[in-house]
Amino acid sequence: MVDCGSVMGNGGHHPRRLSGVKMNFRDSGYALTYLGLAGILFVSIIGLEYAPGLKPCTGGGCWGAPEAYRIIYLHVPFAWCSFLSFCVLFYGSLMWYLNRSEEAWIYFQSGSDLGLIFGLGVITSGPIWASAEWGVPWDWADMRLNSFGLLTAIAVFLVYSRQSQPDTQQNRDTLAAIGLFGFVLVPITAGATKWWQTTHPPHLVVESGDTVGMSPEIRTFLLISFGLMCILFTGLFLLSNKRYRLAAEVSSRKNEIDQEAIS
Amino acid sequence: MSGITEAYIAYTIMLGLVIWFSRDVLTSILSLEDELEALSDEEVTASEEE
Repeated sequence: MVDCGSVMGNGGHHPRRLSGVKMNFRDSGYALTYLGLAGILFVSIIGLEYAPGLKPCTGGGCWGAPEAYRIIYLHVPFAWCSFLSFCVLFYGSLMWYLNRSEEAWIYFQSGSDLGLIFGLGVITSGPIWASAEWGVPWDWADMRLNSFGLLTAIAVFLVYSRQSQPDTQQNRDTLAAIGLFGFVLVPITAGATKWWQTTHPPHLVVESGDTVGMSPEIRTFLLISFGLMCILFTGLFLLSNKRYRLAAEVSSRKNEIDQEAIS
Repeated sequence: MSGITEAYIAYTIMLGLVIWFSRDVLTSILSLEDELEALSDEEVTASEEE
């Protein structure tokens, strides 16, 4: 088993602020999560009912399902936050190899959990939009869809393996290796629509101008949605880290009690 | 077909995921804090008995 005793580094005194006086950035996870959730609910209501939609027909042709386009107001921020999650996962994996520290493993666990949640959001909402607009939920020739699907599958594998396998250093090494190599898919997925232009829309948000791509109103609302999603992401990341720190401390305390009982 | 039904379904799934995950994390933190407190009490009782 991996020794979790080093995680707190405070001689066994757990870090909770019972007095509630001493606050730091880690404690802001609650506030950021509630603020982010409220923000995302706000975005959902506005996005579904009031945000600018598409003209059903333009010079380039008619949309199959113009209102389904509203899905992108959450779908795209979910996708970007999933990339942030995989960055956290990569950092945790790399730090685990460099330091073998419990703190690195906490980042790994939070990154894989968040990657799974945001990844699942993307690969469920994307096919819903695709089936409405393209008539098929999944295009097997589209590189971005397939690489993102693989990325989410890696997150599923990591979370499932963590929960089902014994928590040993060997298993952590194996999972961290998968986390490191899985990160290669992030730039591939991000650049896929530029390098392999198929059915998936290209970099509309980044490359839109006054005359090309999505309208400024749609892009502005999308960026507001991403900002609020980032607040939620940060809150969940901090809370997830807190959860795994507490879990490591509980495990460490139990080990100490067992050792004392034996001696 | 405008696609608004599909939009509502997709929003429900995405919101459901983040709300479920937030709830799961918050519940876990509460239960781990309780467990930690119980372990601390256990340690205090054991040291008093000694």
